[in-house]
Amino acid sequence: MNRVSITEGPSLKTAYGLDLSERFATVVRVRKRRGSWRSETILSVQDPSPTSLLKAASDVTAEASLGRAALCAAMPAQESTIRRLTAPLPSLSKARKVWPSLLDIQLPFPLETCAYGFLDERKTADGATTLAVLARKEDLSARVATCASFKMDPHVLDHEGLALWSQSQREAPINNGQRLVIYLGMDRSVWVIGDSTGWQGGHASKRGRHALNEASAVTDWRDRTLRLVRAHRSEDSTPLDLYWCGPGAEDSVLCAQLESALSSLGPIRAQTHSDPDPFLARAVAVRALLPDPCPWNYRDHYEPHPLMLQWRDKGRRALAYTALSAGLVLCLLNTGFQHWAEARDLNQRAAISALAREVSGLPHVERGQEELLVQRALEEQAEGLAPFLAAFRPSLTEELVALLRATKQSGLTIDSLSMRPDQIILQGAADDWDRSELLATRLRERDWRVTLDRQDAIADELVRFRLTAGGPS
Amino acid sequence: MKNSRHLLAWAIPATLLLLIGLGWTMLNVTRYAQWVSRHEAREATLDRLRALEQAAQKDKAALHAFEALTQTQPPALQPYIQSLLPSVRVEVRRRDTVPATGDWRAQRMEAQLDGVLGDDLGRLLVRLEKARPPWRLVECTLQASDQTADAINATLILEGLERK
Repeated sequence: MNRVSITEGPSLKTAYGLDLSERFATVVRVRKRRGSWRSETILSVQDPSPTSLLKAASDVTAEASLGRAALCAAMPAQESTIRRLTAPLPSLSKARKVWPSLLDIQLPFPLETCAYGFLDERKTADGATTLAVLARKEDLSARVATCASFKMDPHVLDHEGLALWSQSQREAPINNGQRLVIYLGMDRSVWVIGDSTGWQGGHASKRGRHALNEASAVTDWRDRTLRLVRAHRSEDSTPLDLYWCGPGAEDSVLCAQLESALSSLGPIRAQTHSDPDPFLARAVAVRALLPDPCPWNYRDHYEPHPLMLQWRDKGRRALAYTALSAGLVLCLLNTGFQHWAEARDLNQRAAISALAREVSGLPHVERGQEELLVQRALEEQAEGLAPFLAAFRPSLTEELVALLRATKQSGLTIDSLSMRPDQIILQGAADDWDRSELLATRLRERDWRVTLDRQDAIADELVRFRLTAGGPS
Repeated sequence: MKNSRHLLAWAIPATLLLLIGLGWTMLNVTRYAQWVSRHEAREATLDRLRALEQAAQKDKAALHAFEALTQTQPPALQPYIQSLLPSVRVEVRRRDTVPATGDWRAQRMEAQLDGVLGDDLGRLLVRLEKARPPWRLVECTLQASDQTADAINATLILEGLERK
């Protein structure tokens, strides 16, 4: 599930939360710090006088009007509705098309007169489900007008039940089982029930701490609670977690009395949220600043606050600038890379061409043919250079001198000698059978392949021989 | 409304530019491998050309050695041999001339020496080879002389390089 904050866009670090009713007023300042928050109560009064509210408002609105803080309030739960809708459709996109119709038929008034939205859309085994949140536009206008009468124009108008559930989970994360959060106000009560999967149901009543002094009011209060809990209570035997919050939650005697009234629900683990008095004000402010699975602001759907629009525009503009900058950087990097690569290509080609021209001596060498043309040119040059190279190779003179010396030392006589770089043919005579063999051995030592033919001595008693040698191997 | 239009005017080119940048990057990333292989192939060509250049330089060093000589022709054969072996009958004939690199040519001469002693012939050939430019023995035929014992008749094919 996407978790976004209501004030998505501006990187706000401060939000003011308001909990305004006829018998009670609270203003808190919440500052965001590294994913967490710190809350500070600015005003908390019972039966507030317009003067005290106007003074608090002037402090709050000064910062909020500069766009440095969000001013957040909630629509009273009895003036807003939240329903779980399910549609037997396998596709969320198809379900989205039928949510308004499904919601419309459940309402006693036309949907067109409401500001509404759908949260927590997800697929289930039976199809698709969502939380429909709505309030009548006239109630929203009245709420905005009430705030305006105290010189306050909230940027965020949250849903009370969602804000209470969200903040309760933030301050005391739910593990398993069900939780009932009860906001006990001075002149109203709000119930929210849910489990680890999320919000299950809610209810609101105009009976608050003041009204609950009467026994009949307590009975009514108890019956409403039982109806809500029984409608959503799962059949497991885990005790119900009950969390108290709101200005009435500080009256521990009243809370104990109400808990005992709920004894028919079975075992209950009752606790009170810390600093319960400004809980709702804190809840709406925190939800505005921190990411939340079900962010909601009625003002997005009805008379959006101009500053919110500006913040959103600012956020989107920042996104557009980031995309523009990233695009520019990428384009510049790619241009740079291409220039660099092309320059290297050109340098390489120029080096190859220059070297090929230098080695081959050709004025122009076609690209891609450099190696072939150079090889051909060198083959042609080799023919002209052959006599020069030959001058530096071991000469035939050396062989001839060695041969003449050897024949003299061996006492051989030469009749004829024909000598080429690759062949020696020597005919001669020796006074001994083995002397010509000595010459052949010497030639073999110089890597010639020697064949020696000898004839037996006849009248002159000389051994005639013919020595044939192939070029040094 | 004005803000939205203004934002849209920024968002569309920004998105386009980002997409172009990303597309271009993808294209360059895919082309990079091809570019590297082309680059390596050219480097290999350069290396082979350098090897050919080294071999050519080695060959040309032989030519440069000749070009550095002050004499442009090997000594005239007939008088040279005659001065070294005055008692030997010498006859020199031009065989053929082969053009060589630049303005050089290889000249082949046939020298007929009658009645030369083996040792003298060896010394003569060594001297001819040490001359600058040298005369190099290419081929030879020796026959025992009928006239004098130990003497031989030699036919030498000598090659010398001379500048035109």
